[in-house]
Amino acid sequence: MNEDDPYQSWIEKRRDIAVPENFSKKVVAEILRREQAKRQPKPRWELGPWIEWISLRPGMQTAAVALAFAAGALRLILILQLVLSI
Amino acid sequence: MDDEEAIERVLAGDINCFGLLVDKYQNKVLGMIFNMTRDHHLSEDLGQDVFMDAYRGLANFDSSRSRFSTWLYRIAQNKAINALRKRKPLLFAAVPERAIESGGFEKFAADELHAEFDRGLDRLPDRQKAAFVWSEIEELPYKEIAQIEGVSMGTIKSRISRARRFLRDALKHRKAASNE
Repeated sequence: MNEDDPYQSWIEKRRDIAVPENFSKKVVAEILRREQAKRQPKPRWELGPWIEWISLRPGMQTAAVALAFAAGALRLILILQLVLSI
Repeated sequence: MDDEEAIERVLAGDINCFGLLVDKYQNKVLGMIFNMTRDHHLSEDLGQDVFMDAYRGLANFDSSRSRFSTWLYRIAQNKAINALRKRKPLLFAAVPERAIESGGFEKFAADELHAEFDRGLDRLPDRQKAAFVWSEIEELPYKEIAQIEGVSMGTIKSRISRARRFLRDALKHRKAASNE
């Protein structure tokens, strides 16, 4: 190192940067990990089979419509109750 | 094995071959990012991002337009400059790890002249700083730096010369101030 010229010795110090150990191995391992993750099938939200199952049960569609009506009626009652109480 | 052959093998599915390219260019890529950011952990993270981006973009790399090294260094420079723009200014100068290992923190901190150059480098505009780091520290030829930046060689020479003058002047002013 050139100690007489501070500029040159500073440049030399700046060149002397340590690369982390096994840096290239880490990079390759990360690439391999991502490649493997890409190849694996993505987990799907399994709602489809449930809808299919419900739609195939006899009477399920009627029950779903009746439930919707009951919920609507209940809401109407609550609104009426609120209006009458004012 | 040359770069083109390594690239062909990586594209054919030999991912381990990419390690050869990382081995070959890691010193310059990490050195450049470290000297731009002066943050050891950040330079390691960004260095990894640079090589990940290079791997992802390898299929689009056109060897007839530029060398692999030029293309890779451009990715590294963009990452370093983006990191500098996002980051708040440094309050304290980070110390290169090797300096701590080899000489002890006190010895390095006592070296006020080097600290003055470090502060000067931090004050340089991003593009000037990048050109200076590539040329003076990483020892790239002007022609390659011009290709990285996409500007003429004259522009690069002028940026480097201004940066060099700024750093030497900063030291002169400091010496003059300490003599008064």
